[in-house]
Amino acid sequence: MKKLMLLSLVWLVSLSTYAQDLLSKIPKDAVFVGVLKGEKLLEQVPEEKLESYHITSKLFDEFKEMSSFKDMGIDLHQNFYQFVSVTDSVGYSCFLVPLQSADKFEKMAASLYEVVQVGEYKGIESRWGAIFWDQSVALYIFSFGESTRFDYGMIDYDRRAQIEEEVAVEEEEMVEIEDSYELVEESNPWDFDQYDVLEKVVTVLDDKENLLAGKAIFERSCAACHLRDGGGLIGPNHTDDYWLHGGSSSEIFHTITNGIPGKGMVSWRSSLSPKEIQQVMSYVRGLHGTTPKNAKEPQGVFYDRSKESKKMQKASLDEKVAFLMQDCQLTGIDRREYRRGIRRFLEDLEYGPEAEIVEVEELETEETENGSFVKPPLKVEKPKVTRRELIRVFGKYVLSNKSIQNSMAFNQSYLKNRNKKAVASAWTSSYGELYARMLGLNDMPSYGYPRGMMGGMFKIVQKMKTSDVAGVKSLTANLFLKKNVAEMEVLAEMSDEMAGYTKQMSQQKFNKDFFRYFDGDKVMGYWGVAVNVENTIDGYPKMVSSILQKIMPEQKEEAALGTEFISILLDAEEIGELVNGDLMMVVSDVIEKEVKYMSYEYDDDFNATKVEKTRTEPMPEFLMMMSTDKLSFFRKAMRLGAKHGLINLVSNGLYKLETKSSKLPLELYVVLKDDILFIASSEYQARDIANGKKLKMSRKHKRKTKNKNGIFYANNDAIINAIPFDLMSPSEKVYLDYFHSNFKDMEISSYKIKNNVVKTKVSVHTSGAGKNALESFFGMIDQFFID
Amino acid sequence: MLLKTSWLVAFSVALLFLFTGCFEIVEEVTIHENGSGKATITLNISQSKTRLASIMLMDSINGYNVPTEAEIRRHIKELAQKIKETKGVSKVSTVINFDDYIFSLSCHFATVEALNKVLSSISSKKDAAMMAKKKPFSFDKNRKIFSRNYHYNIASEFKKIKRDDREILDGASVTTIYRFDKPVLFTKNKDSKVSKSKKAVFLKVSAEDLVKGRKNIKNQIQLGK
Repeated sequence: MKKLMLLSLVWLVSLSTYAQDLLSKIPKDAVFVGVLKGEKLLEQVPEEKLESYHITSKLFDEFKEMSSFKDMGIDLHQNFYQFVSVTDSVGYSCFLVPLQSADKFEKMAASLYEVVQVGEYKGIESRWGAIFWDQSVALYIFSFGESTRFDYGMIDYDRRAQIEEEVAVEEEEMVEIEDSYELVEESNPWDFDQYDVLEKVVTVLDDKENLLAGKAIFERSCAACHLRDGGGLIGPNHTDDYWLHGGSSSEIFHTITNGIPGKGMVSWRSSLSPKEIQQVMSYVRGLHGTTPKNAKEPQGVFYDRSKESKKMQKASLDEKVAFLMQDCQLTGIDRREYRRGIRRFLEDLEYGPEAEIVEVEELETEETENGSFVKPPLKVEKPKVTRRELIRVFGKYVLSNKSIQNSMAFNQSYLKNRNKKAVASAWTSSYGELYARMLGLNDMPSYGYPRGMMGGMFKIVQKMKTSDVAGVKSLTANLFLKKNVAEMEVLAEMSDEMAGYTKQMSQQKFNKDFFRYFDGDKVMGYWGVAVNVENTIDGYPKMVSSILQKIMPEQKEEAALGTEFISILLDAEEIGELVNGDLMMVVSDVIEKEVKYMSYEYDDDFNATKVEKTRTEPMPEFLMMMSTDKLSFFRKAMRLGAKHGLINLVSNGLYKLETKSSKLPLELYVVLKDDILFIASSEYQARDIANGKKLKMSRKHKRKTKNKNGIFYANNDAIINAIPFDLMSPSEKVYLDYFHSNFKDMEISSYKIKNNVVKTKVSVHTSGAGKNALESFFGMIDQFFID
Repeated sequence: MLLKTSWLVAFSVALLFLFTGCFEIVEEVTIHENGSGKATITLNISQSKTRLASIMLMDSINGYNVPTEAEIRRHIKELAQKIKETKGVSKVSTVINFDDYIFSLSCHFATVEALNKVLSSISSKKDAAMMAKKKPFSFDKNRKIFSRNYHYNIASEFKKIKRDDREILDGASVTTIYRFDKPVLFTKNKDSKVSKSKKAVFLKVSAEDLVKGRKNIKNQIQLGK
């Protein structure tokens, strides 16, 4: 009994720790969860230091009076989360940010957008996303998916009914929530007034085409008051130097656009396009200096054209855009969109709009006794809901969640895969689900499968969503930071069946003799794989067949046929007998090679003659090794090749491949020795091998390949030393210098399957120039990505 | 197995030398007194041979799709076909040399106006609209003036290339050669050279100078009577 009490106490304590953590806010069925552990990050880099890096300080630059995370109200000591929830057609990508002070956070938010009250939460909203917050957490939501149909697939039905009620009460204008909606976009917050924009940068058009167009408009619309010759009647004379409302291009443009209220001049905004007003303005300016009969007396003030600034008339499109951006108050993505908008507008004005691509909707045809006819597209009236309203509903759902049992803190797959030592982690529940999302196939209607090829695809993806079709149940990525190494591992959890095949395939070790043919200290890098060829060739079709049968159970026979076809292509025994399945490719040096190219020389009369010139190009020197038990077979093949002129026998056991047909300046030598097939790019290396020269076994590298079936290794020092520096630009030299002093080497390895988990790890070793790996990375960003 | 090896080699070569190499563009136009003539445009990427040969072995690189030899051939053939359909143009021919990576297109034209039409027919709508305003080539038979205008903004075209990939412009150049029946009196572009016989004008501008706006290929050539 005591034991039971103790257990439940532990249970309760652990629950309360989860409750404090923001994990308890994440819906249990989210498909992706990422976490950044603030406390762990701060162990590596203190808060003040973190804030001093360029990328972080740039963040603060956006806000006045804020120079730290504290000022923004953000609590760096807790965990930050990112998660993705997917419904039938709308996805939400969210960030949970722990808050220290909601007041400070609000102040920061208010400097971006107007703060609104949504139910019990405060928030700011933009077109695509919103941030809502309470006392302890801020939630940033960004929705994706362009569908016209969705439902609240992820919210359980009780909650959904509750939310529907709340929303209906709170927002009278919101349409009732039903099963389907039409998603309507709100107008752009950066919608700009084209007339106002053009007014600021308008120039006089001086080509015939535009002036004729301006003349036509003038005669049609303006001549009634100003006369055809511009001499003036009800309106003033346009041929003299006196103007009532300004005589500059912009001022005339303004007057035509907006009119003069209370006087006779009307606004032409609604009847003429910006371009047309520009044409008329240009024409009017052109009237200056003409001498019409019976011209009206000058009115207004003298405008001296000779003192006019020519700046805008000469400005390029880029300069005009820059000028317009000067007093733009927008920030961030809105600012970029605004810039793009005005740029496009000005481009269209100058060159005419790009032809729009009209997509023709494919209509379904139906076969009947009387032949086929085209079905009219189905039109369904749908109630409308905006993205903004959707995001509000989801935001409230997440922030108000008080039930830990319904949160990620109770998701077994997530808990099983997380790693306490990781500084940051990412996890995704179902590969198939994400895959379907990427293909956008969730957006397809569910009232019936479309016909033909697309229909087939659709069925397949619908099934993939629900089954662990690719054999991967979950994917987890963890980032570890230690003193001089940063490691990132990716764990793929496989289904039992898939794990079985994978295990068989990975039953192959690296040949230990490989490590005696290169200098482990000087090597620049290598790439190697070890798979059991026979098992792979045997297992792969089975794997595919298993996947196919899950996707299309009704088409078992077709699936079997496909499998057999693959088996025929990869005849297990034939290939399996030739090579063992372990191979390594080692890059040992970079040398300069001469390459020929064609250029021209010109005589006194500029008649061209083709001449061959040479230049040097750096080329890597490499050695490829493959284990085989069948050297005798390869010897026979070499002899046969020699007979047909494809191969030259250089000396005993050393062959040269004729690569003239290839356009690469490359030579390849083959050596057959010690049950290894060697392919080398340099003769001396191949000769050494043929003569039986071996180096000391490189234990360091042999260890790296233990329990792995794939490895990529790059030795930073050796690579940089081999790079011909005089071929680099000054900026590249700066990059190389930083890498040289901060990073030592890099490895990507794929481990043999263990407990149904396939692990891939990327490790980067730093030299210790920065205090630790994280600082080296931040330093790198500062060095290279400062704009 | 050997096939796979060469792929691997090519891949590593490509990775190491993605950012080297350059190209030459040569435009050669002969104009007779009556306004007819012959035009040839050549793209020589022979200097980047290694890089191209490696890239051609791949499907895509750095986010750019790599066309196959057959696709490039087809594309050039399509261009030639389009040009053949232009009124006032004859004897259209192409040179496709994948050994040295030299490609050229040439044709005879009745008037430079036909040549302008050729250019706009193979350009984007926007460029074609620009060309309608500023004719790439013009020849005033009476005043004996030949002029070359930008038909589209090469500099802005180059600027579209991703910043990291701009290095392909190092050492790249554009050359124009114009030939006439009568001797040249003078040329407006100060970088252009007149031949010994006075009947040809040569101008070579580096891509870098073009991008930075230091030099351009515009020219006006006055011929003697």
